[in-house]
Amino acid sequence: MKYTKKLQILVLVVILAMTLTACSSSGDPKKPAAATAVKDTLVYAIPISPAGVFHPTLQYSNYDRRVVFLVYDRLLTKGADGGYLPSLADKYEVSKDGLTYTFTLKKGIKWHDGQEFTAEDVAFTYETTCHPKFGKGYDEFSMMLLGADAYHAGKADRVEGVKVIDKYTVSFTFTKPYNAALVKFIDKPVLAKHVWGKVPVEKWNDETALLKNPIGTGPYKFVEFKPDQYVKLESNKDYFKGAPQIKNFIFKVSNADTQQSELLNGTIDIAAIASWKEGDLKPYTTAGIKIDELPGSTAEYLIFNTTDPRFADKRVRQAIIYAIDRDALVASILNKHGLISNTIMHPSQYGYPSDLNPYKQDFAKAKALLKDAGWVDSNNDGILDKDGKPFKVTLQHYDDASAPVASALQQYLKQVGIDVEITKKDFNTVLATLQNKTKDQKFDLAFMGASYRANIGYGASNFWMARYDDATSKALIQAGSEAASEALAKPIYQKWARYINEEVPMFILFFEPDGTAYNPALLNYKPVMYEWFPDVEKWTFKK
Amino acid sequence: MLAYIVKRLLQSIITMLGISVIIFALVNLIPGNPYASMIDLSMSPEQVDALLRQLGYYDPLTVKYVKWLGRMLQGDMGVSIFYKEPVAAIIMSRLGNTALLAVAAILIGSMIGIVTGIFTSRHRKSLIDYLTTIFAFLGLSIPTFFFGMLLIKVFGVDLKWLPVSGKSTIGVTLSGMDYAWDVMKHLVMPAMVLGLMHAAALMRYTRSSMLEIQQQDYIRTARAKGLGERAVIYKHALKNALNPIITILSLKVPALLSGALLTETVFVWPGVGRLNYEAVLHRDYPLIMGIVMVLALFTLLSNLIADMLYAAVDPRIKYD
Repeated sequence: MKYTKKLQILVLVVILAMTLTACSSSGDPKKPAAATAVKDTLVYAIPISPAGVFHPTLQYSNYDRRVVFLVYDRLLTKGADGGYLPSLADKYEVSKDGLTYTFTLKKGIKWHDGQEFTAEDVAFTYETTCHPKFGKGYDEFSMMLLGADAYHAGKADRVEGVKVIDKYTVSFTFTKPYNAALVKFIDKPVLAKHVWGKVPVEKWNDETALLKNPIGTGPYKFVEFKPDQYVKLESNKDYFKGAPQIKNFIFKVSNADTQQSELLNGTIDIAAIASWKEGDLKPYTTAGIKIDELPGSTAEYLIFNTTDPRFADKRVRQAIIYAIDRDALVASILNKHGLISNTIMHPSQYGYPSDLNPYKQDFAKAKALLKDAGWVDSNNDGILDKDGKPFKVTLQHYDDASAPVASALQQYLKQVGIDVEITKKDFNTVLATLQNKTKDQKFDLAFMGASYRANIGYGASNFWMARYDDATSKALIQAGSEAASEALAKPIYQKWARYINEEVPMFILFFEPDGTAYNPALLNYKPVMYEWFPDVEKWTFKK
Repeated sequence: MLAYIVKRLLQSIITMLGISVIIFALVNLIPGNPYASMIDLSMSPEQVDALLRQLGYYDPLTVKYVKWLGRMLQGDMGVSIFYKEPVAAIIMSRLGNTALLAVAAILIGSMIGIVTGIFTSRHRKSLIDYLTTIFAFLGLSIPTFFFGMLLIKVFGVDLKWLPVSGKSTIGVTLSGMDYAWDVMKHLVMPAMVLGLMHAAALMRYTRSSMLEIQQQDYIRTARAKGLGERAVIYKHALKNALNPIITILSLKVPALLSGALLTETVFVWPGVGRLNYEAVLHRDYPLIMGIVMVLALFTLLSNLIADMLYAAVDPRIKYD
């Protein structure tokens, strides 16, 4: 009897406590609304936790990259007009032959630990990427540096092409003219030599504590990283462009599905726009939340397996593209907020020609091209065939959000007699398939997404298109990147753009806009393409 | 008893070894490449190959397994490919959060489940019985994701009573009771979602177990000797009805730990479930292996504990 009584009381107490918890929080004046209580804090939502590799040249996650871009500085940054703005470097000079880039650095810049920033740090940053045991491999920029091969092979102590001229001057010499170099400088911030120089390069990836506690020169100092929860940064009072006005900058890991709720509640100040549908934007506009829209840098593309005999024929590839109505796709999927490109280039890039074939939807043309390629519907079953084999393909796509596009493509191709079977995989699977031509990973068609970087020819390497190993395309890209200046490179890139427009080994269906919804009290927030935090030191909250 | 425990533990070790072989093979068979998104797009295929070779990506599966097992036996779970941190440290940093969520969910779930189970078994075929049954089936069939979003909509957005996501309010520094209170508020919704799912199942088990017991002869005897209804139910019936429920509860422990995946994802609760999800997304083989092995260990241990508890509550059961 005693036990039953006790049990009953216990149950009652717990139920009561639970109800009280739920109710009392409504009347509690100390409610958690961080954004309203603490106006010196900006909360920036990210959908996936950073990896915690806050290292300018080793980072690989787009969310680590955001942290790195606030904690570290780059020599130059990208301006709103696409030009280069001085940052750590006051100015730069390119030699007449286009081989040498000399940077004059700002004086008196301090690392977050008080040490002075010098040309040694700059040289160290770009020299270590040539190290034979560098944790992320030997990239194009490093390979282009004079003497990098000798250093990479262990035959030299230093990279000949990286020279510290004096404390505030540093120069980079390449084996060939390399106009794409500037883009690389805005991509990779500068490391602190006095911090990382103490660790052998091959051990960098094991230095968890250093990777997770970055010391930079940037507008924000690193404070704390709670994996799966948040990254906390605080204003660098000694920042050389002026102390940032918002004291705390927090990246909060937040579910993409609940971001909208949190933004409306005020617990988040900036979040990416996940959907451009009228109904999804309306809660923002009615609540007075502001929306910033940039021409997007995320390319959604259709890629062919060009080693498959069916897709080795460019007429087939062109026919498939003629079957697609991209305007309709952009209208329905992105509520007209997308950008169309007719080659593997962003339309805002300087090498983008105006005379590309726009591939307006044309079923008759698609069918004619397929007929030329030998595909006819000989047995009248609605599906084309050749040598007795029906035209059946599988289309891989990478997540739930890309499913509507995949089924639209299926419908379009059905119209011209191609039977498409859709298989949903995940991003990593499709990416690994595209990257690896040696392994027997089968694919016919894939619909994929990729965030684009500023350099022309990005993704034009045979890397995305491992199977499209085309000598003409490679030669043009190389010639373009080795032109002494952007003006000289322009006609070459245009030629390449036209060539790809004709060849279509892959085709960008559209660029999704980069949109952010943000707290209307936030002033001076104006992101530009490829730059998330321009003039972050001037951002402020309306009083 | 002691001999039995030792025997069971030895069996567990062999089972763990078997699990590790199967899981290791399966994990490595998932298409994809943990290094895929780390590779700089400007690298030539030869350089990519050189990098992957240096990282040991091309090692044969057996070599990889032996390497992994060798380290594992020395208590080293390896280093996460994505997080560049020892796997053990990563898992430990999340385990506490998941445990907190799981304990809260078990408390809520068993409290509601067992109490309503007993109640409905006593008032069989009453209106309340039907209503709770309907709710139980709703609870069993409603997807976690949907239920979570529903709670967020009601309590987080419309009423603004509870924070939408996370484990604590960020941007403010709290300590002591204030911090506990803050975490508690963040805990309510995920614990409710996870707990109510289990409450529904527990309620059904309790109800049927109670009903079965009540038809036993000794219950009739108890009633015949003039015991009050309460004594019959709580002293005679409940004790015996609890046996299967203890098993269910112990078996729910691993389900709570691993099944928290969706709940943790919806509420951005920094636990093992969410970690596991991201590890799979990134193809972080060492981390996936680590998490699965830890979960396997918990499953085996909770099974063992279930058997022990069995003996404790039922004197008829003896292990020799």
